[in-house]
Amino acid sequence: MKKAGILGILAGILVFLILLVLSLVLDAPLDANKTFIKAKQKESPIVIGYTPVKCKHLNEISLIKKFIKKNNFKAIWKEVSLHEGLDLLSDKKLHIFSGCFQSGRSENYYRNIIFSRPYYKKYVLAVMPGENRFITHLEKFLKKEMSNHPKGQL
Amino acid sequence: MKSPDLEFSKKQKQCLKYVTKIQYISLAYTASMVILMYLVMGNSQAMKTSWVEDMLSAIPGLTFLTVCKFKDISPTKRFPYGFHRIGSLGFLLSSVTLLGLGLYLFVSAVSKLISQEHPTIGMMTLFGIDLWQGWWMLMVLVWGAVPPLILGYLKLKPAQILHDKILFTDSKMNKADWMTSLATAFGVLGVGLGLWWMDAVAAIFITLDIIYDGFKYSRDACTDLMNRSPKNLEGKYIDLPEKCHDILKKLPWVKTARVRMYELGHIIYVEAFVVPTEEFVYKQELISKARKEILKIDWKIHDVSLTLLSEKELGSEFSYF
Repeated sequence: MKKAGILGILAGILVFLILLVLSLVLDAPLDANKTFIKAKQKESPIVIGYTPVKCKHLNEISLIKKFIKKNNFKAIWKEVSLHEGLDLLSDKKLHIFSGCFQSGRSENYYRNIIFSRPYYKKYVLAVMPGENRFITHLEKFLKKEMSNHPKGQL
Repeated sequence: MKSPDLEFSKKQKQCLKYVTKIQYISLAYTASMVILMYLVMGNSQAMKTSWVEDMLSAIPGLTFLTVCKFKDISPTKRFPYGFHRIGSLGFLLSSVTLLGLGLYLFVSAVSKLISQEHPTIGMMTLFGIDLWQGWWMLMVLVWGAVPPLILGYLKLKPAQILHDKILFTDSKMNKADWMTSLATAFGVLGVGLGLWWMDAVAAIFITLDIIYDGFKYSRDACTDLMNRSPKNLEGKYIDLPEKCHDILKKLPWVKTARVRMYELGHIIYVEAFVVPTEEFVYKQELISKARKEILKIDWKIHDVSLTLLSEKELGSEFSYF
């Protein structure tokens, strides 16, 4: 029993180390649906939804455009209503949805929607769930970009 | 009933003092773990489940400390058996909570797996360092795996010395915590490798462990409260009733005897029913000697009640033990 227990511990640690090394080698996180790699290799475009509503202090659209340009992605832009956008996001047909969402308030209203971390004050973007490499690149870009524009004017 | 002072030997009292300190350290560690997990858990179901389990893992420790406070209260007129069962009651409540939450989290994890909910783990800045949140989670999980192993080991021997089931359970739970941390780490690393389902699968494994613990401890707490025969810390029936019976049978004035006993917290209460021989002449010393001999068998035997019966009464009313 004791021997089996020790073997179990060793097996667990071994699997953990293999997964850890794999994660480091593959530069985790990876996307569940390979969004970032496919977009980089121009296999599929990034689909961005936006509402006609404009944010008060900043231009989210131009921020996303900069992100697309920096990564040299192909993009498809769709003007949608809030509900259409949220439905498309739930169906995983949008990668980014710009709707002037704010952390806290929006998260309480739309519990099944995934948001980026706040990039300016409480502003967040709604994103496709599970595409972790894509999201981390987006969040890193937003942080860097907004640090150059602390007052939000782009 | 004896006064609480007489329940523990000097060595046991020292051990109780030592383990109380360990329990406070353990609670402080659990609090640190709960806060850290809350800060980094994000959208991962495995992390959420592990966080709930960490919170619940404080229950045996808190129950033990509460019981320690009540140990110093002497039996009263209204509570002549003392307050030993506070621990069993607390333990029943906490194990039922464990079971209920385990079932809730299991349903939640399974529904996430069925609905193919993809966990999202983004970036997080801590101490000025911007990292993928999964790496922060793994660092917290390492903190969640090693200290409980040491704390569990430190509590094991005192649990045996004090014959304390709550402490024993706590020690076992601590020692098993590394598995929860490892399962959660598998889930997080799986998400990092794009395998979204690994998060829910890890959460299901953790909930199964919670449900198993909850069921086992609820069953033990219930049977404890139902006055079943005493068991040792490993859950096996002990041979104290047989030992008591043998002692009584060896007494020259005893024709037949039956013994039943039950646990009140860490102590055992004995009820002995004796049919004296026909030549028996009642003497107080004979009864006192019999009681003392039974009390000598084990320190856990706290009180003995000895009843003299006729053979007919013993056969008809107490034939079930």
